[in-house]
Amino acid sequence: MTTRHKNLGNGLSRRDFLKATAGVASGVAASSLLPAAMVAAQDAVTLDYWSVAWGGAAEVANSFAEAYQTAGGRPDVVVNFSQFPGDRLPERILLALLANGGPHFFNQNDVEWTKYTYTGAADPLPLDIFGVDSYDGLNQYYKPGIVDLMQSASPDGQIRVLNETGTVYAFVYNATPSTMPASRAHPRLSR
Amino acid sequence: MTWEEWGEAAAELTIWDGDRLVRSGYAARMEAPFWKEAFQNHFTTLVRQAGGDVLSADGSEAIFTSEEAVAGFQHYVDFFKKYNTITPGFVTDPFGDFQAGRIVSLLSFPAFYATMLNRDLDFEVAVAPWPVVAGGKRITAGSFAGRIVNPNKPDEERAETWKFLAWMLMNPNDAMGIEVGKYGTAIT
Repeated sequence: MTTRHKNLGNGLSRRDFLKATAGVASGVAASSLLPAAMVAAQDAVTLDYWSVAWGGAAEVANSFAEAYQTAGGRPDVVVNFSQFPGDRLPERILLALLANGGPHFFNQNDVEWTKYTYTGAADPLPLDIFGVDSYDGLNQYYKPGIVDLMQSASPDGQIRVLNETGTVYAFVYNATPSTMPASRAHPRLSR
Repeated sequence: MTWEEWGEAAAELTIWDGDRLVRSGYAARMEAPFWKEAFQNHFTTLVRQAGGDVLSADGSEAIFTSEEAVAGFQHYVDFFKKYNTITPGFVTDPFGDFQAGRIVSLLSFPAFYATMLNRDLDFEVAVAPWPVVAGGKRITAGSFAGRIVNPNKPDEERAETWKFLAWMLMNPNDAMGIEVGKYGTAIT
């Protein structure tokens, strides 16, 4: 298995070392962490994940990564999360893919999907890994219409994007009237 | 609330210093690249709220110049020509401008709200649904985001990536108010 993070020469990667020492600093017994870290170092998988930046992005990504290591039974998998401003991420991804690099996976808004799905820059979803024999089997995980949406994003109907979020736009507003100076509306306002 | 009522209220929240806009009561337009979709969201929503549409039902005809469609989109134009709550070029940093108080309100997505809740603001932030065209239908714009796997990676690494994504899909994590996959993800 490929490991992409630096090894410190003692069997522990830098990431694992920092993780283990952080546990000691927070009062967690080192002995309870080192075995898992040793396991990770022996056959580690690092998955680079690039995301649009938003308030809780890192917390959400890390919560899944940590749950995958514990509840998912994969202590050997480390998700290397990076986030970028939403208006910068598309260019960064495209340049990285053109250079035959980039993260293992990334997220993008639906207006960006076809840049990848129509150009072969998106890996087709493998049904066997999802434990289903057809796309219909994915409907058990999604609300109606979402699987169709994912299929429609590709010219040949193969799913190459895994829906992550559904967003409803709304008005966000400053709700503290006391901070509002007196109105000085534009004189052209017609009533 | 109708768009007319919202326009009047947003105008009251807007501050001008002569011909210079100081504070936008409603930032209907934003210049930052990622935010230009605000235009398309207003367009499609207003046109359909008013009973029009962009294409005919069979997709064979463009009908966005119908009387209903034009009347609907007029509500967007009004923020520039009637209520004067925004000018082109005023907003280039939606996050920073909102935090600084240059914007009172804007159309945005849950992540914007979540981001603001995590910032040190000296005011409260709240969320409201879209106004509705008077006599029209309540229609709200939305979008989706998804994860894409890099095809340049070796077979084994792509397989490991898909295994992780499949696990996330099958094990929704709602501990942080995030529900994934089955529910679509919603920040609550």
